[in-house]
Amino acid sequence: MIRWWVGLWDRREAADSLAMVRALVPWLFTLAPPTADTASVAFWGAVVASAGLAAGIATRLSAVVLVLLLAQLALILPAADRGIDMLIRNTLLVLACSGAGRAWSVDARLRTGRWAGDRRPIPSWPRYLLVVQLVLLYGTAGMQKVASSWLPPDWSALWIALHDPHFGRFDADWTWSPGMYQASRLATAVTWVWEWAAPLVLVAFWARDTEGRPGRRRAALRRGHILALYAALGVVFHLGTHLLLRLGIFPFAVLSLYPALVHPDAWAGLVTGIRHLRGGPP
Amino acid sequence: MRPWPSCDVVSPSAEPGPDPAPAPLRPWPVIRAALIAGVLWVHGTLAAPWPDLDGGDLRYDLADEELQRWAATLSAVGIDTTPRRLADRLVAVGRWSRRTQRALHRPFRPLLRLTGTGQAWGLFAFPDPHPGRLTVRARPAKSPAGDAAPWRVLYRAPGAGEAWLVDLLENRKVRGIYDDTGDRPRAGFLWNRLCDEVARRIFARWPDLSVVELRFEVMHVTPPPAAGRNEVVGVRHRRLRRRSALLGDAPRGAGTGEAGGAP
Repeated sequence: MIRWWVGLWDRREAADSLAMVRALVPWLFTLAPPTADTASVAFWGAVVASAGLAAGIATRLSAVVLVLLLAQLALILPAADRGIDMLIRNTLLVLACSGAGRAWSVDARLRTGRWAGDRRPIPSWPRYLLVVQLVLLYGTAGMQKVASSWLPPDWSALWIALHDPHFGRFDADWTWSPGMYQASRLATAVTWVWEWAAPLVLVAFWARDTEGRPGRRRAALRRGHILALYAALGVVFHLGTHLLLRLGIFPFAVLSLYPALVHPDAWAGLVTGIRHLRGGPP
Repeated sequence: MRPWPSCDVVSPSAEPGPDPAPAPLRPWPVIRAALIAGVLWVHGTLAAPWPDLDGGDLRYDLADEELQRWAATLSAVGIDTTPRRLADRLVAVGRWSRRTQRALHRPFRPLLRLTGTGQAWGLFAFPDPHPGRLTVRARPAKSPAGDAAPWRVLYRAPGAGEAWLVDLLENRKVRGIYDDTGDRPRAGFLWNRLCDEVARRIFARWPDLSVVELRFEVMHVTPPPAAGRNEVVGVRHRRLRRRSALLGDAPRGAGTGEAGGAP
């Protein structure tokens, strides 16, 4: 057991998945005008660090500086600091400890002469931690949904959120139609089940990790494409809530972690597939 | 150059399957695995749905409704209780839970504070059917005819009103300031200062306006079949700001008066 645990966190892989997370996360830092001088300095420092991180310039340093500046902004005005800001800082700390700058970055270009880097494997554990972060986010959010409006036979939670003037994006007649109500009930039930099912992501990783071993359940899990299905539902969930609710950067900030769900080798397969579709050599 | 070169070097430990002769564990991977186990423990327990509440958390219409529903549900399955007894039990468990959680995480608080990291995910755990609609109105002291001037609505959630005010009040950071105000019996601690700032900006933009009002219209959202459009059932956290008090020579603090009647 100890050997397996140590081995799990000692693995290596290509840097592509973490490089994508690195490039996506900093752009979520919104350009809101601060008023106090200290906040102003921290704000512009964070803008510079965000740009540096996205481009992969002094990647680790940029990530650490960005975490500290964002934490400083949170301390200046805690009320304005949202849960998603905390999630971004969690992610940045993991990226600071990772080899995300080893591919598709200025650092990689300077070190190896190629934007893609030298393809030397980087530790896998930061990507695993980002996957665990997603599972914690969804799984514990599901566990806390014990309000009657989330449970049968009510299932009116999303309907209520949709008509909360603080969160709803629309105040239009069509949002009050019976069809909308029934659709929102279905979406409420699916959301609740989907969040409670978050640990299935870890099970899917385990099935993929042990694919050389026999077993019907393992094979069924692999055939069922649990991970792809879960991620697809996640994309629908986040884009749907973005269209109907005013949640700020939350949907896109969480979606920016989704590349961590993909094994780096799959990106190579994706590129090959696209080239094949375009009629190029495989 | 390969457009998407594959990873050429693969650690032996990344290969699945049993290792016939496992190599001895090296010190750094062991230390790293131990540190990661610690991080997972801290963040896992931070994320766990601790029932962290006290009496103040139950002083809401939504809490009353939930207590009545859960008491009825528990009684129906043979657990005899009342909303009052259930509330007392919840508060007792919540206090214990809060103490335990604080003790567990105390050693890590300085680092969590420095880095602004942690875990707390509800994601609409309790959608409130009694939300507040933020409304901003303003008016001159008197109409040109000398009568009491009518109110002019400058902002009404969601998204209606003067574009600059919509941008300001719906900025995600600014919304955070009054997130905990619209649906709660007590205003958040920054509510008065936000009202001051909004009023200052309105007075600077419209010299003819002399009074600004910010308030939450308390709604009651009723799902079908009883659904009606959001019915206004009251007003919450009303604040009036007068130009003379906020920008004039009035004594300091005069602009932060509590809720009051029409000026």
